[in-house]
Amino acid sequence: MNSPLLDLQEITFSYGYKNNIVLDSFSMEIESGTITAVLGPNGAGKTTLLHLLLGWLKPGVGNILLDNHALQSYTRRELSQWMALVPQSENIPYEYSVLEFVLFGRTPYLNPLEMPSEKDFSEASKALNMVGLAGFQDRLITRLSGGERQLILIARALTQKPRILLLDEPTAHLDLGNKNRVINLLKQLNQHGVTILLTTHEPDIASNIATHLILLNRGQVLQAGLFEKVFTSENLSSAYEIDVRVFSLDGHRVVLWN
Amino acid sequence: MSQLETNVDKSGFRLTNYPERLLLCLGIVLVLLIAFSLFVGRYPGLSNLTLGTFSNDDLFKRLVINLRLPRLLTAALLGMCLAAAGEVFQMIFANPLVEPGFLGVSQGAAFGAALCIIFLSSTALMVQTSAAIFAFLGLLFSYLFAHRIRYGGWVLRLVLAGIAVSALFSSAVGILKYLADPLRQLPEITYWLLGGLWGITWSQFLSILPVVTIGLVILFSMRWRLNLLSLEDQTSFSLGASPSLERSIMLIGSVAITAAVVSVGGIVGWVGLLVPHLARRIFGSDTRYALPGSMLLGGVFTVLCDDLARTLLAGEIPLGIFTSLLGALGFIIIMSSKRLSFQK
Repeated sequence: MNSPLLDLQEITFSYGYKNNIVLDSFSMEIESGTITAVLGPNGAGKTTLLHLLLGWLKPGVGNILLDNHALQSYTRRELSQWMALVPQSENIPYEYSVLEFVLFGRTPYLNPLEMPSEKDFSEASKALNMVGLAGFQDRLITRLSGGERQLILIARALTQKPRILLLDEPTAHLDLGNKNRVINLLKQLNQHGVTILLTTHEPDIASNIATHLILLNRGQVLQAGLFEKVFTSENLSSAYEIDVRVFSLDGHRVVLWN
Repeated sequence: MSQLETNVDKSGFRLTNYPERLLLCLGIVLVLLIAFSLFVGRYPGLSNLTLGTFSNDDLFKRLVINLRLPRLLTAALLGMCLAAAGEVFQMIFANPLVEPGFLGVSQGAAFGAALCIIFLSSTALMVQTSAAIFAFLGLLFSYLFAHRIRYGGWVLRLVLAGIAVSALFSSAVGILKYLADPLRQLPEITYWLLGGLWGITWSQFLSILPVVTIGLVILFSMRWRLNLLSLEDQTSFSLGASPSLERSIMLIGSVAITAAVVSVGGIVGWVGLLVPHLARRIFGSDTRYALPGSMLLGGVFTVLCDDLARTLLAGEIPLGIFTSLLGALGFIIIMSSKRLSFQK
């Protein structure tokens, strides 16, 4: 059996206050080429988990291995070539054009004094093409709809050419049509070999896309594994601490709760 | 492929489609303006100027080389530095309403200079060093104070802290003025507070040149990277930047050049606020162009203001008054104009 691409071993993390442990002896493995959804109630530690994987937060106890090497052994640039984050939302204070903004994703390939070259521009255009916003490059980012903005954030992450894509609630503010676009895009990326880890509050999004599922509750892994095995009424009920039922309808899984 | 139409109208996000060429033109304009300004002044007057004046008139020659040239070069550097620092501050604090003067830097420098003039010595080097130290302290106080304010978002807290720290320093300057010797020290301090470039000599120009050159080169070299610092820290981190380190480098560079030019020119307001706005309107938000654009526009603006300051009346009007007047007017016009560059 192959060793996992990402391996979190007994991670404990707190935000510096006493008794405010967000993740407690947390362990999980992510295999290469999978789409893993992280489900769990608010405050379960989902975003914290992504920030730990990025190296933005450092665990108090425990190790994170990326491709068998400790996360700390990678340089800032190496790590951002490995992994890209699509944040839940982002405050963009100035009116950049879409192309200028997506170009920021080339940072891992440029030294601090370097200017983006033709190659970087073409990578950014390619990423825009991939998210289906090819004609948008001269538009102002501040003038886009929520759905378009989300796609632009994904395009910027793709410009980093990551092998692992981390997404923090990528469909949170989107209508059904845009949700569908994002899901299809992620599936397509996965087919091209990108390993995907996303957090979400929507079980139906997870069931639509994920091959693996991690259920979190109060900073601990409740269940983790192949999606079908974990996505059960009992597991969801105990994660959310309410009565949740999973039904099968025309080959789709439907979640009801009360 | 996209479901969306691909031939959407291209809303102009900047006034120019050829930013490099425009930057080059602005550079040429700045050089020509400085050259032209050498001949502007009360002696011998534009109408009396002939081709032979420079070779025959010894007084004119000395006037141009010893007084006007260092002064004009200092004016250009002053404008470039203040505008560049303004742009850096506006990006780093992700707020288009900050400039070095808003975060205690300029007032700190003024306090440092006044303190030095009264209690230590009024030699240029001492005054400049003291100004630089207090400029950094001003920024540090604003920053630390902003962390402790329990009201509003980060930007608001920063601006509030900056106002408070600036007010502290300017009242301290008021006390120093009260203590100052009215014949020797007071005029020197007052000159400082109004801002002006009369009496700039080659030695003063050369004394700030190293710091200013290094600072401007650093800022210029990191101009694309500056974009990333306007994003949230975790975003720029995930993009592969080191936000704390890069922010510190750019902040130190900006404060150092601000302190240097303020130490010879006094407080020249509004350049750092107005010019970056103007540059963003013309070149777009991308600091790859907006930063050098700010530098050049700042140079042009300040040289023009200085020309007006020294020629409009028989006596010289302090430069700071002109930059504030024109800067504030320009700011009002830009901010209230119907987004001329962003029409859809």
